[in-house]
Amino acid sequence: MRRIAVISLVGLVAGLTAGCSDTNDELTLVTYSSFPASDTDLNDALAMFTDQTGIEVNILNAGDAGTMVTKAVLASGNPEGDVMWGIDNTLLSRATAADVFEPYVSPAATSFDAQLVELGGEVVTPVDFGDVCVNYDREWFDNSELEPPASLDELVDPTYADLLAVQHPGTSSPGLAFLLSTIVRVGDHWTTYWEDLVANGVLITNDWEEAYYGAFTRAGGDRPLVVSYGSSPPFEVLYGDDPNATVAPTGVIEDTCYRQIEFAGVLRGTDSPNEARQLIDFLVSTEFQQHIPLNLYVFPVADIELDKVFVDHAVIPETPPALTPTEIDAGRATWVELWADITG
Amino acid sequence: MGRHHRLNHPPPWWNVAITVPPTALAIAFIVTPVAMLVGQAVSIDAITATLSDSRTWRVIWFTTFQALISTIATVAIGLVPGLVIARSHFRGRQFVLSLFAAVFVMPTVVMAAGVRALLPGDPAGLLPIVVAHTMFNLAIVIRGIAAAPVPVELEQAATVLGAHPRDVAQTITLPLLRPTLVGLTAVVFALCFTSFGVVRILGSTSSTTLEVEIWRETIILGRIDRGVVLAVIQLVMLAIGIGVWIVTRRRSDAFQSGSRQPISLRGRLVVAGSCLLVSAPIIALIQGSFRVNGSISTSGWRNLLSNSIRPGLRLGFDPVQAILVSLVTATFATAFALTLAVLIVAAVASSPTIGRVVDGVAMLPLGISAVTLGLGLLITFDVPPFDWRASSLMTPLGHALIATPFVVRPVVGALATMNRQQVDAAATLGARPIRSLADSIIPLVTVPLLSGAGLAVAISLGEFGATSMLSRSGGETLPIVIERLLTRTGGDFRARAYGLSLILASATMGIVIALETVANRKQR
Repeated sequence: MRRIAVISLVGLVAGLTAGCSDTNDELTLVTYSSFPASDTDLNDALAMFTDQTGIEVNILNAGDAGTMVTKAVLASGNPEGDVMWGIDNTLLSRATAADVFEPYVSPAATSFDAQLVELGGEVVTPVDFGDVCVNYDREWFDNSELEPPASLDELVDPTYADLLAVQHPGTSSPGLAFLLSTIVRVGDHWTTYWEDLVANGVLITNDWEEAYYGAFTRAGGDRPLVVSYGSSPPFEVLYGDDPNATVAPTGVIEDTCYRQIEFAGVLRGTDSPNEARQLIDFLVSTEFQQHIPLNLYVFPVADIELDKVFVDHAVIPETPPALTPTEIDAGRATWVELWADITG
Repeated sequence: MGRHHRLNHPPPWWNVAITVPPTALAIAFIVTPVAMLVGQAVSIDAITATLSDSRTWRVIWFTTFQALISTIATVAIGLVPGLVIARSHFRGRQFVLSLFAAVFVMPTVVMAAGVRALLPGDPAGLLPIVVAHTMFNLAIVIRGIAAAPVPVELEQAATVLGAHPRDVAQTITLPLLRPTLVGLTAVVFALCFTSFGVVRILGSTSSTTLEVEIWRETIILGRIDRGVVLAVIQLVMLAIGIGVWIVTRRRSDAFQSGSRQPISLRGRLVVAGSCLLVSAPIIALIQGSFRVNGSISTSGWRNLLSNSIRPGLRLGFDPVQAILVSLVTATFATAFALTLAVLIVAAVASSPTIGRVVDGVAMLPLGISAVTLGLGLLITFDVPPFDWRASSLMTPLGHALIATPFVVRPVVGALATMNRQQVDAAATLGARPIRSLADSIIPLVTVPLLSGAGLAVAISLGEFGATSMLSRSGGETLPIVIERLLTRTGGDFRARAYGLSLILASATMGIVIALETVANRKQR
């Protein structure tokens, strides 16, 4: 038994120390867990980058977005990789405050929406964006005498009592986005707005799955209104029985949307800053950006013709100016606690 | 331990040698990472802020309260079926035992959905949390008791002499089973105390555990310092608990384990009842795997192993690869855990005093928050040649740390029944101390060790929390893939996830049955 122990210990150490070499022809792209590790067009595009430049790209999955950023903050200066993909505007200032990034904005960004670029604070480059919106079940509203609510204000109308499911902003990322949406859109009286929502029977779940696949009427629940993503309707079509359907089974209430913007940046402490910058440039190039919608469910920042399913079923709503990362970081804990007091 | 003569004990170098590996591993992979994190992140301000926040105290109260209730419920429900299975042989015994292990690896989201389906209304808070904890941890109690030696002969003797069955239970069975039972209770309590997935889904703002609060502070609110303070509070509370348990623990008297008897009708009913209870979430899974968008469909099963959404559109991960990755990870994790467990058990058997300490240290992983450990490992192993942050062996190593207490517990329970005098007699008759020790413990620990290995496989196959905290490149484990399928909009992803959960449960059952079969052969 002792021999087995020794062998497995030696094996352990050998295994742990193997594969640590990081030369300049190799980059590690740190991403959140929903970034595809292999097989998709995004990965094929990265292989193309390798063909063009001779630089290998390894994808490192660092957990969900919050975990990825928390880790980067702790490892600031001695990063796990060279480039980070997908830090969003609710998390960005946490990272910049800890000097996680070596400032770099791709020259291509001059052609992007200036508002998105500005939120990056000249430290990171925007790579994609998407919205969190209240979705409604078309069939449910067709069968009832109600029209779907048209605005945030109508959600507190007793006509729509007991119809809405939202997520806890302390445990769910779309939940936090929806809270921020109410703060931006309602302003100082957002606490009153939430008191009204509670009085109107809002259902609070801990996770998106619980709301979308538990409470939502399309999943057999009793809530025809649910906080989800602006890209949920096209994916209901795309992944549904009839990918050529003319009407998506769900719709989006544009006046409730909140925009989330994702960025990519060079991690401070990388051995290969030049190659890292090259990779950022590639990530915002047409070759890579064109594959974003179908694989990451968000919209590209580069000006690209969208797939038909997005043109037909997705909306890119006019949203009010997003809160800056600094405002979000300063307010988040207080807002979530206030929110928790109101919703009990 | 005065009654044992020093001469009959293994030499001191042996005691030291055997305790070094588990202690060193615990220091390297548990104590150092947590200490590093405390050193880097915690300030006096964070400590003051956390301790003066009334929320902290409410969370501590709820964490302890729900863990107590959950533990009492689990032990109360698991005791009788466990005893029946321990003393009976019947067809399907191994199947029943593996069923509990399969429930233990159920993805938390699925278990939560099952509990919701069982309870009317839209429950959140204490009741659903306790029900879910009980379902999960029944496996620990029932399998633990079933693997323990049973004083069948003593009981029969008492019965023949006219003792009432209740008196037999109170004066013979339970006292002799005490070390096993106390150990299992401690493990279940620690598991419920540090519960994450169940509470994150079924808890509410006011009913939450320290573990969930650590995650909320660290990951959601980005207050790493406050999160770490909470993690230290959790660790200290459990360390105190473990300390009290070790100090007050008594050895039971030695006895000869008897052979299993045919099962009675009443026994059959008890076993059937407990199986029915834990089958509820599995039945919910089967139903769910045949439902797509509210109607019955086999598309989830047809696409189960596919890595595509439709031709030309890929998922970005591969279920077949995930099954292989999970199997390889579980193999490594079980090998690590068994190695550790054997060393710990050897230490406990060689020297009761040192053994107690090592035994306590082995319980530590139960008290460490996965979030804290994940972040601690990140900042500890970050300098070459120890830059192991994305090493593919980190995941099995993490699983092994988590699984070790489960392997050690029942084995140490069995060891408590060891007849020390027999060891001493052998030594007196000229056997070398280490040899005589080995001769007397190996037959005693083989069966619980193999049963523990089954549980280690199950833990590794089903583990989600720690895995999701570790950075990784390359293949994902099956629970991670299931979670990713569950978080996608549209399509048959949910049915596929449920189908894969059933594959996970079946694989667990198969492996556990195989190991039990080997164990039973050994016993004969």
